[in-house]
Order: sequence, then structure tokens, then C-alpha cells
Amino acid sequence: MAFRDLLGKDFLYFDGAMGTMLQAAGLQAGELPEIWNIQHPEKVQAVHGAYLAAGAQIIKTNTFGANSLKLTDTGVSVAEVFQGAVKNIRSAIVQEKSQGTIPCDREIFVALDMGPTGKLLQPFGDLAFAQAMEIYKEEVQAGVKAGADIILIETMSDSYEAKAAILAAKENSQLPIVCTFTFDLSGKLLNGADVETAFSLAAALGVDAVGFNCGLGPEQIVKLLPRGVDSVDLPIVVNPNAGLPVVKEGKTVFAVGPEEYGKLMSEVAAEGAALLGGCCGTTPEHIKALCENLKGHKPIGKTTKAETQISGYGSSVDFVHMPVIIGERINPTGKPRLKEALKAENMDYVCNLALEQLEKGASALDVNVGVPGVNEPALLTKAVLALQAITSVPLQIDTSDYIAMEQALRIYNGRPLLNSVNGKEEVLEKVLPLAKKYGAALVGLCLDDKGIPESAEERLAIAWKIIHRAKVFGIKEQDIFIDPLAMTISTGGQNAVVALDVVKSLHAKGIKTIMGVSNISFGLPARDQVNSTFLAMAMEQGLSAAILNPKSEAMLNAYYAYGALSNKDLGCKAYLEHFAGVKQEIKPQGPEGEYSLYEAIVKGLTGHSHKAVEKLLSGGKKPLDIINEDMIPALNMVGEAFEKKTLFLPQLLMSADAAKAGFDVIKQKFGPGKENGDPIVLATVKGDVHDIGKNIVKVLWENYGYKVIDLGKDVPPEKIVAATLENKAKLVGLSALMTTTVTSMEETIKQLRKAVDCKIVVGGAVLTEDYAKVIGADAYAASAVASVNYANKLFKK
Amino acid sequence: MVARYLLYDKKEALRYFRAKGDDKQAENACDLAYLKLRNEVMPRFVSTRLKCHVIQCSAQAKGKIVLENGLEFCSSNLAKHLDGCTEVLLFGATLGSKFDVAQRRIALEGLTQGAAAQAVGAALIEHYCDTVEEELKKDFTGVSFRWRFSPGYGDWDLEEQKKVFAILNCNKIGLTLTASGMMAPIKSVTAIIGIDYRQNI
Repeated sequence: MAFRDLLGKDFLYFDGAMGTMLQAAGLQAGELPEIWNIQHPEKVQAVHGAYLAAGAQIIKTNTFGANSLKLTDTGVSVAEVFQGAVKNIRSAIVQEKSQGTIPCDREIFVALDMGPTGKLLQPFGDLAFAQAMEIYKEEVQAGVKAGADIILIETMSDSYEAKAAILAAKENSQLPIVCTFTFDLSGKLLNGADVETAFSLAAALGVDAVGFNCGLGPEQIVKLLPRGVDSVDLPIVVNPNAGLPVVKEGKTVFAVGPEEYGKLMSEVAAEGAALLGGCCGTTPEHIKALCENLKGHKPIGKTTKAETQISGYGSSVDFVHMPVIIGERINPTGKPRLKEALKAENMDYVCNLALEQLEKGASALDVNVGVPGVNEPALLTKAVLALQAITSVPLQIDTSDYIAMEQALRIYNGRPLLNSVNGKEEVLEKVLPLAKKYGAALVGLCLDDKGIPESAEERLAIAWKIIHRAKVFGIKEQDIFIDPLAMTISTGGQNAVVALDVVKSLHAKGIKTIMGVSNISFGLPARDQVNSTFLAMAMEQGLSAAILNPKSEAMLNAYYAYGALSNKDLGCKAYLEHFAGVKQEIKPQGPEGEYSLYEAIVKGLTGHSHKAVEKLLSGGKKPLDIINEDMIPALNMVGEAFEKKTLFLPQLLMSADAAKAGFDVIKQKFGPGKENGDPIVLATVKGDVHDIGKNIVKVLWENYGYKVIDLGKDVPPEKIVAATLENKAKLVGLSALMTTTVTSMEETIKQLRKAVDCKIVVGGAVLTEDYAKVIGADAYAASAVASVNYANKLFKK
Repeated sequence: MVARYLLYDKKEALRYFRAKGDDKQAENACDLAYLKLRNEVMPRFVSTRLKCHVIQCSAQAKGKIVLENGLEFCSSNLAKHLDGCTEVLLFGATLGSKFDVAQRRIALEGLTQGAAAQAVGAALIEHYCDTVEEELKKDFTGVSFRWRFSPGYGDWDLEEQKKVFAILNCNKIGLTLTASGMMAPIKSVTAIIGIDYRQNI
């Protein structure tokens, strides 16, 4: 019978640990067990045979670490290892069946076993998502070719890596996929994701079963199991260790014996597991006990349905109680500063917009980078990566460019909300497959080729068309959010009524809804008043998510008040937190009083420098005069004091921050205006991600009026050369902090010398004056102030 | 072992922040950073204990530590440091990826907060290493230990970090090595502690 058909109907038994069994057979510390598939196949077969005899039906290939990263320098290829591994299981099956230790008609499934790559994915480490997928692709192809029956992705401690593995499996085979994760006692992965987040991501990506393995024993997993069962509508796998590890005399041992294990696993089965086996420390005896304890029993069915969740890398949001607030501000429409920032690929600006909204209470963020003329696929991907490097909240990917959509969905870490699909044929055909493949929850707009219909009935017709067509692609009704399109009441008195009717009707049928709330008041004065009441009205009709500006106090107040009144916010908890609690605003305390700009910068008082610049500007002083007469002298004074060691790093930083704050005020009022500053290219070299020192130099250089092209960190030499040429920069600043990355610096300098005529100044804790000369730099900057002095001398300021 | 709450050594943090004297502003910045960071730590460690053979440097070659499985650490400074030791404890410790994310977030606020967060992070991982050492040493009696020594100190090349990762099961705690020899997550430490069984030295 096909594996998928057996799932959930009968218990399916995995085998147990391979590593420890091979160690008992002579595997040395540091030796790769996977190589034994080829070097000692009979020993591997013996282990498989023992587990088969014990009752295991799913046998994992001995390929846990058989990926190209871990197999370099072994002389053995991934394909060879998988070939040998599958062969060993097949041989063992034949052996056991011919000996009569297992019935001839027992179905045995060979599981293509893939473990972690051993690297962290960007931005947490240096493995690119695409590269991770390539690594898993090779394993999947090797396993499929060798004849595996199912794919097991196991010991996942990072949901992002699990996504890479699952997608690679989906793209390169038709085999059933099982994915198990390793959680800690509190139900968290190493990357911070909890049980619900990890499981619902795997389910959304289309695995056939999901579960727990390693890290914990049966007693610990059984406590987490109900959460797992509730979070997905899939059979659950439990492959625990033989208890928690105990260190005895420097060695790790697992204390739970076979008999106890069998009993504990019965409890695990009673809590809802359908596939059971073992991990570290388990032996064929453990599996035998497990099988015997469950003989004659069947998996318990599940009665409740899992709720829809969207997630970022570490945490998820559901739509069960209160509607979810999605911050709308990362959208260039009507925002000239954001447009400029996006064109300049200034991701710091985008990240700050995100943090502002999160501070005000958004639970998810819309991300839209649709500025005419930009490379939207590249920019949207960049924005998503940048945002996910600083926050774990779910994002709403908002674009109508299909390529941008696919690229962003692919590298997204978690389960995103996708905005949007609509009733147009072309859009349905293009967007639905993407949403399905990448497990996104989906927003559907009530418009089609004929435009936006007037009546609620016509909009509902489009909504149901979308829902039914989505089902054809395998997208569940519960994962769709219909947007009834709230048009402004200033152009149509019935617009709010129509939108609310659609929400009400869909809610009655259990369909989720979403709206960009502020559209309703476009063209009217006192927009917040209309918006906040409309929000309350929509929430009363059952709105599931609201896209709005979290900085609007009126809307948030309406949100919390509604929550309290409808009793959806139990005990008015969120309401009380929002209103009654004196919000602990963690802000730096500054002294009272008035300070001149010069004083504010020298003393590093950011808030005061802000005020001082505003005062000077409103008094009629020109920006250039402010910079030359107040800011630069203050910075010079701070720089000198730093060199003389009468003032130290913290003060230098605070002064730089204060000066930057002053500049930001000027920029806000007068536009960027530093287009005529001398350009300097700045980067932390390839392989290195230390950038604090580099950022200090950047801010100081900018404070002094230079136009800094900051390429960021881990920048390859080619990119630095290209930027120097493009910007006609006469100075390049390079930073490296480790002996191992200083070689990249040397290479970068070599390439720059060949391509362009410029000066190169280098910095970083690992460098010295002498070493800088050796690698060919023009100057060594021992401190940020030294880099300013060098630039000033060079450009004769 | 998973620690619940990590304490923060303000003096240490201020030292990493390169603050001098009685700098209230720097203290304030560090305190603020700590308040934001303390809930982001997921401290974990992994360790092993191995017999070793210490060979001092000669005119021909660098000193080295030969471990029981044949692996060698090449460093004259380390060999001198571990002189007399017949066993070593090796450990890897990290504050986790979430911490890196939080540091990046705080860096967006400004240079001061970013640098303060770095300084506090450095103090936190060092303090965590102190607690790990205590845990590892607790079952021993009648021995003396050397203070912890990490790849990158003295003439123990950072390149040798690869070797440490070959013995320690760092993946278990989500600790990895990048292609350029950096550790990820960033706030991580690997170290070797020498065990000297000699009495009356």
C-alpha cells in the first residue's frame, strides 16, 4: 500500500539510532558513519537487520550527514553514499525476509535521511538559502536515484533550513516527505521558533507528516505533543532519545532502558502520535518494546482543526481571537522619503520604519517596494532579507510583479501573507501556484477583468470564485483572506456599507477578511475619526486583519476599545496594557535645559542637538552655515580630545550620533543635498561581518560632508571595485577584523589597484601600520577620527 | 544545560565599551542595552574531555597539544600554558542567533546603542563562559586547572578553529563555523581548559 495511504490509519514504526550502534561495532570518534555504507556495508546492514527484526517498518538510510559540505575531503561523493546506503537497507530486507525474522508481506519503507547542513543560513550565518537548497537537492536526487521510498528531513533545529530541505525535496521528487524537528524543553528550536511555528510552516510547504526527533526523551516530548497535534492537520511523528542525556565521567549517556521506553512511548501514542521510533541512545530492544506495547492498538484520530498561522522566522500569529494589525507604512505611495531610500537601497531606513510600527503595536508588517524604475525583484528580496534580520514578525509580501513575488516568497523565512490575488484569470493562474508552493496565506481582492464591482453581491461572487479556484490548486479556504476593497466614502456614500456587507457575509461562512482601513476616508478631513469608527464597525462584522498605520492613535484606541467591548480581549488585558499602564518607555535620560548645537554635539546629547538645529533653522540660519560654523567645529573638538585621550569611545559615539541627528533634521527639511560631497566607498571585506567600527567611520565621514557609499559587510572585491568606478570615488575605506579575513582585504586592494586610481585607507583591530603597508594600502587608520583626518587631508578640507 | 537568566557585569561591559573613569552616560547606554538584550539570550554549551600530550616548542617546530584521537593543536603559547596537563576540557558556548538579531536591531538606533549592545554582549558571553567552566569543573577534586584559552589567542591561529569544531559537536547547540573562520552565531566562544593532576607543584 502506498505510504500516504497508510498514514494515520495504523501505527508506523521508525527504526532507532544508527550512530551509537556503529560505535559499538567499532566506529571511531571523528570517523564519519556515512562512509561505512561503502567501507563496512555488512556492519551497516547488520544494524538495519536488527531494527527490521525488532519491528521497524521505516528504515532510515545511514546518510544523516551525507551532504557535499560534510563529505569534502573524504574522496567519496554524495551519490555514492546514498547508493550504498539504500542498497544496504534493501539487502537487509531481503536477508531478514529470507530468514523469516520478518513476514514476507510486511511493507518496509526506505527513508532517504537528510540531517542539517552544519551551517547557519544567512543572515544568521554565511550559507545562502539558494546554496542550502542546492546541497539538499543533490541529496534528494541521489536518494531518489538509489531507490528510496520516502524522504525524511530530520533533526531540524532551524525552520529556515527545514524550508530549504522541504522545497528541495518537493522540486526534485514526488516521494512522500516527513519532517521532524529538535526542540528544547520549552518547545523551542535553536533558531527560536516554537512548535506551532515550525509545524505549521512544514505543513504549509506540503509535507505528509511532521514531528519531533532528538533533543528530548519521551517524557519531555509527550508534554509538547498536544501543541504539535493541535497546530497541524497531519499525522505526527515522535522519535525521541532514550531519555535526556546525562554526563557521566565526561561521556554522554542516555538513561532510559527498553522496557521503560516501551511504556513511555505508549503514552506518546495515546497523546496522538501516529509514527513512532527512536533517536540517540535507542537500540533494537527499544524499538521492539515500543512495537510490542502498541500491538493491537490504532492511532487516535484528531477531532479539532488546526488554525491558520502566519509567521516570521521565530514566531507566529493566528487570527483566532482579535484581528491582527498589519502595519502599512513600508509602502512608497505618497512617501517621497521612502521612495528615495528605496531607490538608494537604504535598508536601514526600511528597518527603522518597521521598528517604529512594531513599537506601536503592529503584529505583522506589509512590505511594498514598488517604486517605478527600480529592479523590484531584487529590491523586494533585499527588503525581506533585511527585515527578517532584525525582526521575527510575519511579513505581508505586497507586489504585483510575479518575479518579485516568487523570489521573495522563496527566500522568505516562515509562512508569509501574500498580497495579492484577485478575480482576473491571468492573476489567478500566476499567483495561486506560487502561494501553494511556498505555503503562503493569501489575500484575495474583490476585483476582476471588469474592474471593481459596485454591489456587495458582485464582489462576493468574485470572492467565491477565488476561493473555489484556490481549492483546485490545493489551497485551503481557511488560508484565504478576502479584501472587499474599502473605497472612499467621499466618492460613494454606500462604499463603507458595501464593504462591511461583504465582510459580514463572508464571516458568516467562516471566511477570513482583510482591509486597508484608511482608504475609507481618503479626501475627507479628520480622517482618523472616520478610520477608527470604520475599523470598529468592520471588526464587529468579523474582520480578521486590518492593514493600517500603527502610529494612528485613534485607530489603535478603537482597536483596543472594541476588543474590550466584544470580550474578545479577555479580561480587557490588552486594553489595560494599552491605556492604564504607564508604558515603560526605555529611553535614554537626558539633562534638562537648553544647549547650543555646539554643546549638544560635544556633550553627545542627541535630543538636544535635534532641538538646537530646529531652533537655528527657524531663526533663519542656512544649513551650510550650521554645518560649517557649529557642527564641524564641534566634531573637530571631539576628535582632537579623542586623540589626546581626554575623551573616549562612548563620548565619540554619542557625539557622532548627536551630529547625525542634527543632519537628519536638515535632510528632512531640505532634502539629501549631499550629492556634491566627495564620494568615498566604504565596506567590511568579504567573509567578515563586523561593522560597528566601519559604521562609526561612515557616520563621521558623513558628518563632515562626504558622500559615503556604504556597501555594508561581507562585500566581495568585485563589488567594491565596481562601486568605486561607478561613483568615481577617489578614496576607499576597508575594514577587517580577523586574521582570516585580512586576506580578503589584500585581494580587494590588488583588484582595486588594477582597475582604478584611488587612495585606500584600512582599519580594524587586526591591522597595524606595518601590515597595512605590506598589503598595499595607502594609509592605516588607527581610529575613526584618524580616518576623518586622513580624508580631510586628502580632499583638502 | 540551559541557563535561564544571564547576569551582566557592568565593569566588564564598560571595559569593552572603552569607557574610562566614571562615565555615567556610558553606564546608562550599557544598562539600556542590557535591558533590551537579556531576554534575547538562549545560552547553550557543549563540551568534551580528552586525554592529551603536551609537546613544547623547539628550534624546529611550534609547540603542540596532541589529543587522544590524534588531533593536534599547534601553538607554542598554548603548549606553554598547558605544561603539566594530561587532560583537557574543550567547550563551545553561544548566546544564540536571536541575540545577533537583537543586536542588529539595536544597532539601528545609533552608534552609541549599537556599540553598547556589542559591549554588553561581550560581557554576557564571557560571564556565561565563567558559569560553563564552573559546571565543567565541579566534579573534580585534587586537580588544578589552567584558565581558558581560545583559538586566536597568542600564536594559536584562528585557522585552527576548524579542528576544535571537528571534535566538539557544536551543531548540537546551533554553533557553526563560516567559510571565513568566523563563528555563527557571533557571540560565541570555544576554549580549552587544561587539567593538571600533579600534586604538590
